Amino acid sequence: MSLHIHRPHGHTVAQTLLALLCALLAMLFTFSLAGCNRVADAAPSSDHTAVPVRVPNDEIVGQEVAVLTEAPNVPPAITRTHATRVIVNLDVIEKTMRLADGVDYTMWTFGGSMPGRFIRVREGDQVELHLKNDKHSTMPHNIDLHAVTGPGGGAKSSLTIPGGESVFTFAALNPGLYVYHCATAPVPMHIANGMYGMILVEPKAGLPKVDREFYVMQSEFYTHGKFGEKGLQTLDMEKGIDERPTYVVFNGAVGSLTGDKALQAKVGERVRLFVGNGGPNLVSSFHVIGEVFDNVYTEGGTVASQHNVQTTLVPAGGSAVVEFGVEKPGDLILVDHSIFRAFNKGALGMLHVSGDDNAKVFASLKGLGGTH
Amino acid sequence: MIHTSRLTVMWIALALLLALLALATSGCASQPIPGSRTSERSARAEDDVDRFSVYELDASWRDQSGATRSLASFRGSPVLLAMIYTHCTATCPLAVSELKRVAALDPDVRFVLVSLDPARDDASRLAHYAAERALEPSRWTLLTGSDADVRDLAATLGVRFRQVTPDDLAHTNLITLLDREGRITRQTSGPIDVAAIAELHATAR
Amino acid sequence: MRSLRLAALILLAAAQQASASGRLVARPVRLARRTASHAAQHMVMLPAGRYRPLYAPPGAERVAVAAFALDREPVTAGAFLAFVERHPEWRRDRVRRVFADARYLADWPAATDAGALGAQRRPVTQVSWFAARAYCASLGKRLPTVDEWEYAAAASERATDATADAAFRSRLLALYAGLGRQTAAAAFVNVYGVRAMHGVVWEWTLDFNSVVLDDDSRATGSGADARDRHLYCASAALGATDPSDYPAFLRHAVRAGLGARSSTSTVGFRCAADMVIS
Repeated sequence: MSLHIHRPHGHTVAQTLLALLCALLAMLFTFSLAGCNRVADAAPSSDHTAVPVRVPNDEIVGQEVAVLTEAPNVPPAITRTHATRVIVNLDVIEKTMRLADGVDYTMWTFGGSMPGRFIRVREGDQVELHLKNDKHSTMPHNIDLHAVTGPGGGAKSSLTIPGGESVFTFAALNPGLYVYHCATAPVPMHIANGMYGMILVEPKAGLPKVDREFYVMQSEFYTHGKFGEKGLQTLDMEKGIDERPTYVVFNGAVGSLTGDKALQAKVGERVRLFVGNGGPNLVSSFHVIGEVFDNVYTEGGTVASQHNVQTTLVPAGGSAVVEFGVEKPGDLILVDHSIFRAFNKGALGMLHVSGDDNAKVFASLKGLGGTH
Repeated sequence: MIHTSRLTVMWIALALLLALLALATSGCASQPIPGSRTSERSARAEDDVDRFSVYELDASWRDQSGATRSLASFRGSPVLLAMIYTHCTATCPLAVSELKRVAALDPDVRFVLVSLDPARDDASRLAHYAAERALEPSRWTLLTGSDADVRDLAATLGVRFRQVTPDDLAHTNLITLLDREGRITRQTSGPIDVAAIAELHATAR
Repeated sequence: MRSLRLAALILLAAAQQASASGRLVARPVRLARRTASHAAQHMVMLPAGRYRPLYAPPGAERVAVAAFALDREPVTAGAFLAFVERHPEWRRDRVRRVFADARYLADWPAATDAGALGAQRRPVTQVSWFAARAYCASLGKRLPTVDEWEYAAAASERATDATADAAFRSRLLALYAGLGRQTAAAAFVNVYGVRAMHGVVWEWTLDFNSVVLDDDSRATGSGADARDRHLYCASAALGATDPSDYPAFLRHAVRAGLGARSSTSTVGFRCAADMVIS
């Protein structure tokens, strides 16, 4: 929607900004023309630095309804070798959920669980997203998927009142791991109440085979009560503005990845974690205690840009993919290595590795510790 | 006034640049990008099972000749409808020129421009506006009405507007395609899909 | 009958307002003392004043609001049922589709049955803007403008404008988060004597569609220089008179999400009228 206001009186600030904008647009214009020429001239090339303007030209064959999963599960790898029309049905549900033992919070969710349902599509797919807002919701909601090329990442077309539904389509042009979130005013409040999730756009060639894939998403909560204070907690806006979270958690609650709910793997398996950060404020220093990441797809891109990494940054509204083999039985601990968050605010998860011990990998020779 | 004219010049320059940019970009893309369809507010799902006609509204309008008109009098022909006002200098002319582009391509669709500013846009003002832009009276109808009817129509179409100063309105710039029965077929703030109108003609036959 | 008498008494005011509604300039009308005393049972007089909208027009942070009368409480389902019975064209099975979507009064047991007495005492919801407006008009009243509604809603129990009070804001956010959990009867009465402005239902306003807001709330705000903000791809916070007024943003977003036909389980209304006690 474009807006128009005619203002009769002079505004020098507006003029200056306008002049700047005009200059910027002129540059953009020149640039886009240059881009045009490059596209016209360039033969298909393996040069990754010169990315042409993307045009969805895959033939869309058939249609399917996407399988969405609750964290920590990830939908199965895509075996299709062609593009298709993928229907994604995402329901916004406001519901009171456990934030920590004895602590409840009215979460605004994509799909009724925390974090939002994991969506998996293939590069080139035509995605038709149906956003339904539960009739019992108190607020209108929308969705901005960072994977979308289009106005507001879809937010512009998806403001949905309680009981309503919005539908829009987009081409999955760019492969990678992307955050989605609600972008209705006031945006920080919608995100602080839990409105985020992830969408994976698998590259056409697929991802390297691994044995286990998990969905882990970090986020913060800002409550009136102190950490652990019992009862139904509500959003403390002042703490949010000051960026002083009460809780920093994985997958929407303290302890959602510990004890019985710990992630499971076996010695000798390869593990891939799709790590997201819903924010709303903090950048995560994601680390797995007792492991080294063999591959890190930095910021959720498609290139294993680094090997042998101890801790990787996951920006708010961003992601990272990490892969590692598990060589030793025991419990690997997932943390935000901004360590007070792990120790005092809940940013702690667990990957339990079972199997035969391998003393060559690690052995305790003297001291209080066992073999782990 | 110097400020105003300078500002106006800048806006024109800006509009030109934007248009050029749009051209340049569209030149790059050989096909429409489906993702860009998100900018079109196609009728929402709830309305697929719940279609309504804009012609159900009770409103009495006056056209540029001063005659009384109802919207229902356009029944039977596809209509492109936009809410504008004649003192509007930026987006409304763009909408009108987009409609004129369509007029040249499609000889049968009707055009209705409804004023958001009925206090200043009386029939003679609308007639002057139409004459200035060579809007053929047989195909173009400009309407003015009561504040309440304007608000009803705007609310029905999803056009949002607000009086910002006594002279100026902020409004969403939305063109609506109505089918023969006055049902909202498509809405856009960008280029009009002429094929969609052709489809409506086809179903009419 | 009570309603009909009220209608007759303030009809003049409503008629005048109807002609001026587009400009939203409230036109005070002097009414007989009898009118005022009668209306006072259901309505509250709010004095002329100023309030700070979320997005202010150019050159003024505060907007003037003329004196007006506002219903003490949201319209109940029982009252709306009476209206539907008097005006069967607003029954859910007869309403014109242009006036209401498929959810209009959908949760009522039947077209002329608003449920048990308890349900009838609750604020009516699942009503479209057209229906709310018709209800008010049937009583010689009208919907409040956004400015009027916000002006009345700015008040706490003690202050006429508590919007800058962090504790008040925090309370509103908690009320909104639990929208519908409290009853209108339990909701607080503000300094004007108006009850349940917050946290029971969202409410229709006459010019709800004056919110010139992009659906993507980060891209634009509304009002004064919405176009600039749109072009500069900034956030809704830009240009807001107070970017920390989250309750105001929430109300703004609710209005932005509504269409005139929307009939949702969270939106009700109350009526207003132009009146000055002589």
